[in-house]
Amino acid sequence: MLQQIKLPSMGATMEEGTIVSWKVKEGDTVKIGQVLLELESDKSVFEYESPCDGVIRKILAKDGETRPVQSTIAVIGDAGEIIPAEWLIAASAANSATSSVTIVAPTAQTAATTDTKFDKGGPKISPRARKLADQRGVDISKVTGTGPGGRIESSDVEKTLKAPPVSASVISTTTFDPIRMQINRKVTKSKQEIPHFYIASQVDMTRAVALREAQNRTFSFNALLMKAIVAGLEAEPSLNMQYTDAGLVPRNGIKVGLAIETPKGVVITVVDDIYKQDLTILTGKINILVEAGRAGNFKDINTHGACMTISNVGMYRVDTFYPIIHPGEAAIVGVGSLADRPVVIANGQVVARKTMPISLCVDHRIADGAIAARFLKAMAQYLETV
Amino acid sequence: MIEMTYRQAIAQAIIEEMDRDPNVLMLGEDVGQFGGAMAASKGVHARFGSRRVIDTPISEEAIVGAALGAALTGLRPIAEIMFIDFTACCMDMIANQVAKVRYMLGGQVKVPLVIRTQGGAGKSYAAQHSQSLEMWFAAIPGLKVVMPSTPAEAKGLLKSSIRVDDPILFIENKVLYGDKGQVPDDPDFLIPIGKANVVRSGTNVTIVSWSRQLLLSLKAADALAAENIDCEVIDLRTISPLDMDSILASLSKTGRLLVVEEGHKSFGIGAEISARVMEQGFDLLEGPVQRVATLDTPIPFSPVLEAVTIPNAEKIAAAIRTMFAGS
Repeated sequence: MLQQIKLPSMGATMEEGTIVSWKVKEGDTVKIGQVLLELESDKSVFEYESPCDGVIRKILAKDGETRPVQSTIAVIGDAGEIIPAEWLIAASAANSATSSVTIVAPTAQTAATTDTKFDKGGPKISPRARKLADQRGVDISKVTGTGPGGRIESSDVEKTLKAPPVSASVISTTTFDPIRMQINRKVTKSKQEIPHFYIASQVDMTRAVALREAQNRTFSFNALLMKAIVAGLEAEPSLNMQYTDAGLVPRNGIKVGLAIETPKGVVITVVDDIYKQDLTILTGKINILVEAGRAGNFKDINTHGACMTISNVGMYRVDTFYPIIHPGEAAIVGVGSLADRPVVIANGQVVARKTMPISLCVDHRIADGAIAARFLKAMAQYLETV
Repeated sequence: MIEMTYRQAIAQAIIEEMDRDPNVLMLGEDVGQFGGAMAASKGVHARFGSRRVIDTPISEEAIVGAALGAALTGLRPIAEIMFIDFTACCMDMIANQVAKVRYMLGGQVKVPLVIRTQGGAGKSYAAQHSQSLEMWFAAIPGLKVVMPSTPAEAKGLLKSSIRVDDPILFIENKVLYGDKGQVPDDPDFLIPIGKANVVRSGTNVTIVSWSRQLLLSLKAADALAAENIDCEVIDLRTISPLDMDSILASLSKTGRLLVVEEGHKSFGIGAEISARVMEQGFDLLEGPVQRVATLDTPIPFSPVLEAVTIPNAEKIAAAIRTMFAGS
């Protein structure tokens, strides 16, 4: 039979005792008269003997802890007997009471037990749902109640039972492949370390579209955007810097990255010598790199050294968006969809023009807003007058 | 099956039982030649005469006392108390004599006595003629309390009550006397005492009611069906002994319980059912047991105020809605 071992009183004035050391541990079989622990009162240290035979099922006060007289410090009984939850609650309540109050009268423990029972905390749950949860081993703290006042009802518990076990979904999502892990590390590092700021504008691409049509689409907008970035950096060379904790380091030449969607996640391919090449050749060069990236031939592409990267999701009807800077770079350009949009021209007339939203996300340690704004203006000017 | 009114069903039950058993007799104020204040014993006197259908003076204590004496000496009397409110005049007879004499005499006697009476509000009869006092009598061990809600129940339950050897308080409802319904013409059509009846099957919530409020509960259940709340409605039929098995069986299906009664809410039958559910069916509950009952005030004479005081289908439906989320 289960029995609570309570902290004994060794005199009328004794209100609490400190456990010097346990002589048994949980799971030990003990006999009547066997020393269970050494206990210290305000007067002396003494040994306390077991009042019964049985197995030490639970030790509720550790060595060195001070507890009020009559508080439960251990439970002895047969293995497998279920310990009433109140015994454990009572013990923990008494524990918190002693830690905040120096002297605790023995009756305080009873009061604490009652209070704990009234103010149970935890979720509101119907008796029926509680029983079902007990039977099916459902953790009610993970169930959302949909009854009146958010009460958990049996149907809420049933929903949990029908839902796929949480562990299974964890297994499938934890197995990141190395590329994905690298992306995750980089975006996390970027957002944690780089103080981003964001500006955006809308560029009139009517002229660029006409030029591309006139040249039988022999160049891509990404090639044009790279050229525009070069134009922007020529206007604002202070952006073509690399941040280090010691200071800014100028870059050698102008390199621009392009974010490519691959089956394993987004990858950046860096293009150099942009200013040397005409649009058609540059387009061909970009296409080769994009193909290599999409095919997973990451050895053939260079992912480092760009000043900034273009992230172009215009084909998905996205307007302005703000991508995350690739660590080591100064900025990232977010390109939205090229579409007919109403534009107000000189005399207040509204006309349809082919426009494209462009955002610029900048590492504030490298440049302030005005620099970024001048860069973006130069970039837009290039695109609008090409 | 024959269509007849609630009052005709009662008269028919009395006539059939008096035909069947010469020991059955009837007594009360105006029950004989006048046919009963509620016309529920029309034709009984014409058939059986003044020897078996006795018009008594206006003395409730004398009516019940004489009936008890007759029952103890081998007859099977049906005593009528015109309004249940008047049972207060003969409470010693009912509570201390009728209900206890079998016990006091160690089971040596039988008390095959039916006290017919009627209760309920809804006719603007004011505070002294409109009460639902079943809880008074359900609280007395030794007395059974039966309350029919339809003509068929009135007949089947009254016939069973007359055949039982224990005293029974048979409470009719004054609003229901004119209600029509199909009634079996089998002279041995009996409805067991102490057994509730599931009159509407449902899955979301159990409504327990009896007498007139049972019919209003069914109306509320119809309205709630349109809101996708599927009510199971239990007609208690016998208040005491209480058929907890039927209530718990339904509750195990629905998880929610509403008790609808025309008696006052405090210390009522609903309170008793609710307490027993706590004791016997706590783990079945999806939410707290709810009660719709008459306000704790005397029943007003004003029809407007009376309607506010007692339950109706709208109040029942409103109470049910509060038992579900999002309402």
